[in-house]
Amino acid sequence: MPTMLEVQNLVKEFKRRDGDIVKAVQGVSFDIHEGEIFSLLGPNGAGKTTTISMISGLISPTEGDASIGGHSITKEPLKAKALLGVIPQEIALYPTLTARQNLEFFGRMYDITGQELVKRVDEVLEFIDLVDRQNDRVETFSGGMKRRVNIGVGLLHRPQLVYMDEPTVGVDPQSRRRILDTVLRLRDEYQMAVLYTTHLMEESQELSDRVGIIDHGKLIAVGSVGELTQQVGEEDRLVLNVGEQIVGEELLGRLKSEINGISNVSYANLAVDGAAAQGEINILATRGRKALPDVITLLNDVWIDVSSIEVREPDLEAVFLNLTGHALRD
Amino acid sequence: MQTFFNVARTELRLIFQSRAQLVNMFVISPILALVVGLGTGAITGGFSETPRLRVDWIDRDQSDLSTAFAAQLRTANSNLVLCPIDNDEDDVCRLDNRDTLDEDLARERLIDGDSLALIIVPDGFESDLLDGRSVSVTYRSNADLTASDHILETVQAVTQQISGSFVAVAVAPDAVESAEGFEFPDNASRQRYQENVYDVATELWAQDLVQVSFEQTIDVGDEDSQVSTAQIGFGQSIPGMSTMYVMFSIFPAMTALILERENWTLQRLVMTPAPRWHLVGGKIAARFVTGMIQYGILFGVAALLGISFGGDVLALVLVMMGFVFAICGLTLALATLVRSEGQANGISLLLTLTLAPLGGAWWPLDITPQFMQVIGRISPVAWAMDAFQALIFEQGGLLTVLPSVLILTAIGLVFTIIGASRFSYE
Ligand SMILES: Nc1ncnc2c1ncn2[C@@H]1O[C@H](COP(=O)(O)OP(=O)(O)O)[C@@H](O)[C@H]1O
Ligand SMILES: [Mg+2]
Repeated sequence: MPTMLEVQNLVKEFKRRDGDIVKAVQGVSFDIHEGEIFSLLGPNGAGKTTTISMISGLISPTEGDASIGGHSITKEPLKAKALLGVIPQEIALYPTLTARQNLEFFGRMYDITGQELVKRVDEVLEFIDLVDRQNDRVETFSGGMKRRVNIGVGLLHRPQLVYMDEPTVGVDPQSRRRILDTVLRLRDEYQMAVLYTTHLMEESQELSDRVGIIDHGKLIAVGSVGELTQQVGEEDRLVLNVGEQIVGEELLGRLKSEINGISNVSYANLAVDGAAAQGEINILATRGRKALPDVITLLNDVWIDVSSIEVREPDLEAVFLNLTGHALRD
Repeated sequence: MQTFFNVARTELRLIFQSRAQLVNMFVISPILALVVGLGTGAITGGFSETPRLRVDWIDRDQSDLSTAFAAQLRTANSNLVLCPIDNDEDDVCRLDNRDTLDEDLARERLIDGDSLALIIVPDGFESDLLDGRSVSVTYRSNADLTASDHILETVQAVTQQISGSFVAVAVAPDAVESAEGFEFPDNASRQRYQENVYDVATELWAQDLVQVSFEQTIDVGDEDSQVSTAQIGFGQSIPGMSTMYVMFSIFPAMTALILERENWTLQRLVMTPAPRWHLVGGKIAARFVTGMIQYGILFGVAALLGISFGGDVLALVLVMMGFVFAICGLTLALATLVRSEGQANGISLLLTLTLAPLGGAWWPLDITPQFMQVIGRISPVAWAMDAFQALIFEQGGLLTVLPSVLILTAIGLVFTIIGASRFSYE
């Protein structure tokens, strides 16, 4: 399949005010083929937005290059930008303009004019299901509706590649389902290639033809969901909920060394800042069900109560844990 | 270019969507200008010295009679200053230490508005008059000949007096000659003689010995030296307040850029395939148009009230364009420096409220101490106000205001280049 996007060794270093250098992206390379959904999966701060900002020409790479449809983003930026549909993480719209005015304005920025512009705007309004609200100001919209306009603006010029940066953050479950369906329609009905970023393994798993896993500015694995989970082999993942109890490094070490078949143990506190702890122990083990009694015994010995236990088949979360030694969500 | 106009048009739409902007532009600024105009009109009109009307005086005759002519003119209108002979230590004539004038220089001074009229007394003025020949005095002014001209009226009044008295002088020797060795035989013949003298006198009177020939230099409309207090007040307040409000409507563009960054619309724009200068240029163009509209509103209101802004509309518009451009450039340069909305608001308020009075937008710089007039020149407002004053009060034209326009354009260019080279998303 022909390549739509080619990313070669992108590096981005930010200079902070205090003079420190932040290496946000450290040599990322990958390809996206025509008509495929490629997701970039990684925790907050992994470098997803920075990578995308370089590809879309918002910031210039410290090193490396990328080309969209054969046009280098550093040498022919305008040609490259013309091929890319932009759907940023933030709602990038003029709040005091109507949905239609926003679409028309950004459409003209891609040199679409006259009757063609009217036609495309009508089409997009249909696609995002906002025909009846098109003449209302965006500031009067709900979060989900704004998201949809935000998506629509990126599709007006019928790009062959769109990027969507965490489009489901802060969206209610219903709108989120709708957005995920939209992504699939873009590929299946419009044959667009999609570069989709997320920190949610479930989204990545559902949508992607291929996944790139990114952490600390480095791409640590690329492949289809099947290829990646095979890397973890037959290992199951045990998820133990320990509530408010905090689990230290020492105990994690004991779990790993004293019980057979455990390859990786990690602890994550899922509580939002300030709230009571919501501890979760993640264990990767071959034949996980067999290791389970030993795990419970050991935890009982140190007076840790387990409120729930889950045994999961290999998934992207397990891949991430296996590759990085820490959970995706912490 | 389509993307350039798209950015400019949408920016204008966003600007004029703001109710505060509309109220400021269309309601508050005219009200303020009117109130301030009435105030300054009363103050400067009531307390300032009587206006001094500079008239260039070239005396080619240097005779007793030409000197008397000058004296008569001064008596007829005490506001007249004949340059260079009446110049004082303050160089009221604006002669820069010259004590003579030639015709070329005088013509230039007329065009520049340094003098209001030029009178040339020809060689042979005295002798021709004494011989009863007619004499032609040249009068030149910028004013439209059909308009009432205070100075011209003075000159005409004096020439009539001179003609009147010289008819008598010219006639008297005739009478004496014919009377030599001759006694009137009776009262009847004396009567006849007197009638005779009268006839000769009226005949000569009809010849109108001193004639003023009129020439017009350039048509700049009315020169009404009997300036009304309204004209004085609004002639200052309309350009002053509109210049301040131009700053009020352009400086906030700094905030607009910061807001667009927060809104992420700026980022989205940067990711479109439009050249960077279309984005920057389009936004500046919109602010430029806004500034010109602000000028248009206030000068339009004043024109409806019958205030005169001189005859050179092109020069007036060029001054406005120069100033608006300078402020647009300054705004762009500052926009690349400010970091937050609060900072931007503070800077725009501070700049407007210092540059305006410093440059003479609140009161004429002429009434401030000398050092203030010098310091004021760092404010682009001063260059604009100078030019407006020259056009409104001193009958200046395009040539008079050209230096100001060029300086403002240069200020605009320098800041635009600084701003554009610093403008990058990162
Ligand atoms: N403009 C910037 N200046 C300094 N550091 C930045 C800047 N943008 C991002 N970073 C840092 O780079 C890293 C990657 O950020 P980002 O690409 O936004 O992550 P993600 O989108 O995966 O959550 C983070 O550590 C972030 O703090
Ligand atoms: Mg991000």
